[in-house]
Amino acid sequence: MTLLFFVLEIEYIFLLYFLILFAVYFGLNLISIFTLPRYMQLHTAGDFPQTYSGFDLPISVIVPAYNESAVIVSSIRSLLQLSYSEFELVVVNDGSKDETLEVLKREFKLAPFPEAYRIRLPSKPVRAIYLSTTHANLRVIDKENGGKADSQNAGINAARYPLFCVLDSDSILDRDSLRRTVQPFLENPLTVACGGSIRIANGCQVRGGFLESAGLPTNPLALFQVVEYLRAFLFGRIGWAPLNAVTIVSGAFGIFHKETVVSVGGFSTESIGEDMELILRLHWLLTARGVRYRIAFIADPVCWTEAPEDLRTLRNQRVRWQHGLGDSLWLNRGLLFQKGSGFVGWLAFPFMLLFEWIEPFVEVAGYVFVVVTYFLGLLSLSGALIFFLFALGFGMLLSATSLLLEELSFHTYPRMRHLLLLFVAVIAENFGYRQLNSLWRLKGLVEWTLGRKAQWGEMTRVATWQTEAHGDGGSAK
Amino acid sequence: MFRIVESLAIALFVATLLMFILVLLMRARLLLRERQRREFLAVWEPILMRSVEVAFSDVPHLRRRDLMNFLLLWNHLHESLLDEAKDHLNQIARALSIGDAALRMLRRRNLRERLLAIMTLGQLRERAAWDSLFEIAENGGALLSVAAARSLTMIDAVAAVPRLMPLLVRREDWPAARVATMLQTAGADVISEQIARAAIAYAGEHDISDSGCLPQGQTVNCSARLIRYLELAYNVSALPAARAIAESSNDPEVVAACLQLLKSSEDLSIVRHSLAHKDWRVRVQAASAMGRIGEHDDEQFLVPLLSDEQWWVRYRAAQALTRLPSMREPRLREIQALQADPFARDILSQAMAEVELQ
Repeated sequence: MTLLFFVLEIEYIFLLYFLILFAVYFGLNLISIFTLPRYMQLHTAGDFPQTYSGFDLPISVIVPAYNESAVIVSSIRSLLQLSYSEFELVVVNDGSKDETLEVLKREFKLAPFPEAYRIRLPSKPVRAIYLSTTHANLRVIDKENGGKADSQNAGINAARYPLFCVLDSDSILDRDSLRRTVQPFLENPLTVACGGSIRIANGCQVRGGFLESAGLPTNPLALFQVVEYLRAFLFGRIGWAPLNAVTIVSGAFGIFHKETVVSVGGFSTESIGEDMELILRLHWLLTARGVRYRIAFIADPVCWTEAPEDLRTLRNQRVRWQHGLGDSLWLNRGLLFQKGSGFVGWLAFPFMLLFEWIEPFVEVAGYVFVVVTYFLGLLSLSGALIFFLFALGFGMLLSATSLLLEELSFHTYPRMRHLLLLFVAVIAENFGYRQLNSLWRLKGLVEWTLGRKAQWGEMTRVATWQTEAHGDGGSAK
Repeated sequence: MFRIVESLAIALFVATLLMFILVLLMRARLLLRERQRREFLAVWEPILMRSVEVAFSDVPHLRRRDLMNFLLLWNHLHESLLDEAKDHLNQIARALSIGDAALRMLRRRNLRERLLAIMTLGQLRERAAWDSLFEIAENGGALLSVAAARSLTMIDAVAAVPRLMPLLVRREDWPAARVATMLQTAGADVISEQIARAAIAYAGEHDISDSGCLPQGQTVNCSARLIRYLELAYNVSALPAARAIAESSNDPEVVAACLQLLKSSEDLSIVRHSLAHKDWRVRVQAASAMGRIGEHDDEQFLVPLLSDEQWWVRYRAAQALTRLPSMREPRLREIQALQADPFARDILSQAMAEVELQ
């Protein structure tokens, strides 16, 4: 009787947990459903030919590169073609062991440049700075290896413009990604950071480093990640944005106000999730200083990134993400219920703690609990199935809502066949993929709790979607 | 307990199914609209493209469902074309009574329709829309109001600009880039005197130090912003205003904004005086101005700034030194060798290297 009572109590706790989770997601969805159409309507003007007034904000684009000799030239060539009035490229060679620097020197006619380099943010020593003699807006910083965050800090030190953009050297952009993402800075001078939607490049056609047409991958793992990204960006971020509670601007593409980032100490080299960590630190420190600020998010798909297509790489990525989440939350724990922090300190941060950090533990524990109680005879088969169906339905509804939001906005995947394939993915991801993800994230959680360091690991890139364009196109890594 | 979970699970599955159906219906509607758009473009794109060169007297009937597609295409072409071609486009629009349709659209709730209507009425120079557009410019959201302001300047720049001047100061939510586009649309002929007068009046009456021009927590200096728009005015109006404000204002941001505009040797005394300003934002703009108008003797004023505590001041001072009349590399090397401060030597190396690479 006591054991049965205990089992029932645990079941209620699981149910309550999922109901609160559902309520928050439902709220975020509602916000997104109301804000997204308004955003789409208001930004019609952005589709018309643009005239540059000379009042646009110039941007320094920082590109960290580590052992990227195979792709760096095509990446830089495509970035040089970005459609924006004034920008510079600051490529940071992070002590590459391959020929990244030599290739850059050769292709862009780099000349040593005696720049009076300012050390405003700490980074590993800079060995040399080069200026392109063919492209006046291209500089290369050659420094000792220190990781991505360290390279970004070195890039910020060298950046000359008031805004800087961070991206991965293999990020695929639209030509007008900068113009779209800078809009919140122009429309609201309180903006200190802005990110945009990131989408999966697998299955798309890419030419000359730019997206030519969107498509879906045939690899099921990559397809499931398409659904995940839609979910994460279309209500995960759009929902939080109007509350000024965005907690991450992806390191794959984001624009920041330089002086503000410098004032909070730049990117942290202690955290493996440096992108989320910086955003949480901005919230925490700017609130503490009583500074009015806004961290914006635009729904536009401005960047496309390659998703892992094999289990090993995917597992490493998810374990690393969970480490990054743990680092970010721990290093910025002062934000939790911080006075004056608004929705981010009182809702978004506790939400991340309870429903993103702890969630894999609860989900895995839930599955284990149902199986164990069934075998102990404390739960009937129909009861176990009902719990399983509840978890399935919950996941499916959230993913289906993100398809609705996508349909309300950008229709990135144009064909009816794409839509049907996404429906299949929404259902299929709940049978194995989601559980596997929870296990990997649980592994990350346990490792982080035990104080083990996460490793970046090697990303196995396939890039079959890349098409060469007159010798300038990207190539497989 | 099981009943609750069972009901919830069923509700979740039903909601998911409904969501799929809704998405499919929306996609079907989208595909239908896409087809209609293609049909529309097949007919109208050639007509509008040809109208760029020759005036059309006979235009086909525009179906009601094609109105939005027409406005999108028509405005798109308008934004890409020169004036004479725009007249032909307007003839077609008038033949189709687009102005009346746009006036009706101004009252709709859909923001996209209202925005397109505002743009259309401006391109058509529709006087009947004057009051409605002005009301939107005063009270509408940022993007709609600045678009309405631009349309007003298209309809009658001479009448619109004086009425928009107070809004230029008051509407701090107007993005500077869009305001600049609006002022460029009005033209330097119309805006020069107006902005110069407003800048002087505003800087005098509302000096930042005593006016409370900035509400608590506001980060935009409205006076400085107004001065920045002087860039778009004719020099004959902008320069006297910038000089007068630079000499009288105590606000560093305002003075820095004025210094950005100075480009004549008449201004050297103001610039030299500003090189020693206690605020580095003023010093950096003064050093930049020296790069434009400095004379041979100004070397003595610039060299001390090579050791300024602010990197940007050092950098602009070094650049200005390299640009002084009759300044040659050997002299720069001499100056560099005389500097005890390594920061001064480094920044001069950088400036000289930039000149060499150019």
